[in-house]
Amino acid sequence: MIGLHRTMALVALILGGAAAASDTGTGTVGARRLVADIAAERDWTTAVALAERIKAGERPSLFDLRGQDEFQRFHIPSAVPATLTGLLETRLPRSTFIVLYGDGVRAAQAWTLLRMRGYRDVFYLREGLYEWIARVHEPALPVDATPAERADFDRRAALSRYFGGQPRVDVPRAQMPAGYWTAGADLGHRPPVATALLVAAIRRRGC
Amino acid sequence: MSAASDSVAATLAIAFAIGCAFGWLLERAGLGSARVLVGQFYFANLTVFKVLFSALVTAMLGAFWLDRAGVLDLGAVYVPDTFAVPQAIGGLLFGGGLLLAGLCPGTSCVAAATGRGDGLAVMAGLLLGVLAFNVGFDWLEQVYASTPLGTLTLPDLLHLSTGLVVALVAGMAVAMFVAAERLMRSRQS
Repeated sequence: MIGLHRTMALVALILGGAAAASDTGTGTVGARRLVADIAAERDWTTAVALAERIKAGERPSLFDLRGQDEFQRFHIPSAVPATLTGLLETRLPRSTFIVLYGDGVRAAQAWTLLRMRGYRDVFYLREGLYEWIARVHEPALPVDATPAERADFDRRAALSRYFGGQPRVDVPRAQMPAGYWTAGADLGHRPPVATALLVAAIRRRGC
Repeated sequence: MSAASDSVAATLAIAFAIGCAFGWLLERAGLGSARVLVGQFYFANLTVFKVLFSALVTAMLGAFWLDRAGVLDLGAVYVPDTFAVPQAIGGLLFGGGLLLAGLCPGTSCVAAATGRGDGLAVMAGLLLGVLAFNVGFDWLEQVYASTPLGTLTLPDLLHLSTGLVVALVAGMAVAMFVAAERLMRSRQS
């Protein structure tokens, strides 16, 4: 029996030592799951879906990853400013519904960080604050709207009013905000300057 | 039967099989006896420590290497959240109950299955406790959800790689097994 115990102890030490030797970095466990989530596009949500969930009574932890100045100028209601370093220390229940947005790739980086820390219900807005303004805060109805576009606009206009926004009607087709939601639009990130211009316009109107 | 209900049935069947195997191993290890369990608190019998820590190290090494082999995705394994104050209260309550009864929930089932009256009594208390908790949940909810710390794992807390933590825990376990054996031998001599 003693011999068996010694053998088992030796096996445990060998497997433990090999584990340390094979894993030199932190957070590598679960990488396959992250890649699968990204491939299946489970990493992002839409501004409209976020707005509908908030309106339905959910209270997501909403993190704004832009700078403090940009945050002070305008942010999504209930959002709090955050940095990657701050998110590293965040202590929230694992089941918290978390939404991230920012300029550039920062929100996607934050998504990876939080998923590696074990948070499961994490999403980011693909086009950041620009998407929120264009799709929820100031939904636009083209002057030559189709019935489907009109129905979609009515739904988003109700959301806009809920969040204190201002729907726009009779917008020339060429001035309609483009994004991944428009057919044929490039899926690249909206440049920060476009977001800044939209925010400046909202502030001029005194919102 | 749908795929979803098939999956639930398979999960329950596997859980049942694992539960039976766990109970059988506990019984074979002698943990159906309250005397063995309480002996742990007086350092008179370290069977509980040796059996459960062996299981922990085996599961840890198995999970780590199965993940490395691509059989298991550790990222998909559920890790419960930590709620500091309610879990500390629960731990104290659990420890107090274990000391008084000499059995914990799993071993009380084992004891009851082997016909021990104390096992049946502890199981009855356990079910009454579950009932009382659920009936009083509205009153307890505020404490239950207080001091959330999120998901805490040793690699995160210690800023070490998962593999290094696995090695440290395995080394610590072996050292403690050796120390436990020496303690038992010195008590017997």
